[in-house]
Amino acid sequence: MKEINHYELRFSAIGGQGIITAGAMLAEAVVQYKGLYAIHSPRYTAQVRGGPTKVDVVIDKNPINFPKTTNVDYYLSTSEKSFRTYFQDIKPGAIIVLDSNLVEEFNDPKYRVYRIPLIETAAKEIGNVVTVSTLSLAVTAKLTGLLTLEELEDFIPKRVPKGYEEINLKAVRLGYSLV
Amino acid sequence: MKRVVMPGNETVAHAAVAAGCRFYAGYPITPSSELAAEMSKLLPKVGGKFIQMEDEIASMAAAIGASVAGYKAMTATSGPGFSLKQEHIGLACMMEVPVVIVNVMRGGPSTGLPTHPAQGDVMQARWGTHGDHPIIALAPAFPTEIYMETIRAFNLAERFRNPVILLLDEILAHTYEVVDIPEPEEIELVERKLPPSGLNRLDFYTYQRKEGDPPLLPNFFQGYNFHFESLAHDEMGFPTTDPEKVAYISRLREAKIEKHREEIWKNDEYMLEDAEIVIFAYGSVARSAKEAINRLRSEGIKVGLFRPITLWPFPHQPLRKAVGERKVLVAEMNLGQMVYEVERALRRDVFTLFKADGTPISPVEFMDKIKGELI
Repeated sequence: MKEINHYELRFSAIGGQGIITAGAMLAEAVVQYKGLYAIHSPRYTAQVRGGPTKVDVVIDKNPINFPKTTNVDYYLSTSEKSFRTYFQDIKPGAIIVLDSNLVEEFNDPKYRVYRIPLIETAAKEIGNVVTVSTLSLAVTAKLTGLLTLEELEDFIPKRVPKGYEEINLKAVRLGYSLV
Repeated sequence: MKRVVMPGNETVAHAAVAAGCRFYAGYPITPSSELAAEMSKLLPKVGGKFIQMEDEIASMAAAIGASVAGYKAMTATSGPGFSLKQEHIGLACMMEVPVVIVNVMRGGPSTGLPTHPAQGDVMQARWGTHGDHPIIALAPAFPTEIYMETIRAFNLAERFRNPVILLLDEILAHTYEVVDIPEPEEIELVERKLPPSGLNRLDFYTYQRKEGDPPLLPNFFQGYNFHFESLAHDEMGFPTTDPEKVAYISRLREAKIEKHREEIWKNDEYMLEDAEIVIFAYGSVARSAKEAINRLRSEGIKVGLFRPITLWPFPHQPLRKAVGERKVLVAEMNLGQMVYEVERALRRDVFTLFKADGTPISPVEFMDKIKGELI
């Protein structure tokens, strides 16, 4: 794994898609496996489901003073509206991951853009749409180098609801091989 | 020690239970609701009681009632709810009943900005309820500190028989952060002192004590006659308008905090020694200040931080001593509140950075202010 001093991530979606959970799991996992400090702050709209939501994750090798993002290194989105709404403070050169079915073409040479059918893959290939949280986490872990496959294979079964361990492990392995 | 990732609201709930809190009454309000939700899960497991009341006024009354019955009690709310609780906060001050009130500050006035942070209730924490009254208010800024200061809030409430207000803001309450939870044996708890048993019950006066001491109120069913009274009362707890008696009990109430303020004060000083400029900030704003200080120092600009963790009683003397003649910048997520106390302590004007639009003061805003106006 590369040496991390400070790293900022954002996940945006439509409330209910499960992307906030991906951010939460990422923060918990880097604290647990890497001994790093992390915060995550979800933002919801008044709508519980159906409104634009996001979660910001800040990772640092030291305790975090300012608990907000100012320079986002990695941005994943599964909704066109949310992607545009929260497109702020994205660092030039940032990694951008977009759900290829749900976010329109975005070709800005300032960023490294990946287009992956995240929700479709979760629903069809893995077999349950709720695994999009784990799938997105695995894609993020691979692209950023923040967590290894082995770490995710250890973390995910303990983190997900009972009875959903196997299908989420499938999502981890698929996500790690997709990119 | 156990390392977990939790938002501030849940951290307070876990710390409260560790501090011995066994009664919670509340009415949910953003951004404090998760605190109530967590208490409703935790309290039944330790034999405690959780009750969602019909409103904030009743919640405050219920918490006072539980405390009088011998339980460590807490309630939590935010802005509008904190306004509603003020009447009974005064009651708890008057009757000298320990209770912890958490106020997660959001943008105001009125319903204001429910999902955005502010620090607009710091003067309300001091003077929200009418009349002269003693109060303690704490403003932690970091996740593990939130845990430890919650425990200290209960300890101070029990020790001084007084309401203690714990102030968070929306950022601290909602951001999931790394909390290092100490083992139970590492936590020091203060239990309320009860009057000794076996006194002649007619000789026991509810509010009788030496000036500077908190009263020794018995719990219900301990065998003593006692009287709680919201009217001005004498040492027996019965109403009086006798100016001498009224003044005496009022002095006793103030003195128990005043005489022990050094024990209650708690400040954090960061890079203050060689600083040419001192930032005064508390709560989440102080965290942004720390980040700005680190960045300014890497550019050779010597800035330090004075951060009160105890807001009330206000640390006039420690602040004066720490700051000396240096330039001071007071930063708050309001339009200028604690700055009045800072100027009173220093007896001079200071620089200010105020913001009350629902967004935090960023490190860059600190840096721009300091580079633009202070050097």
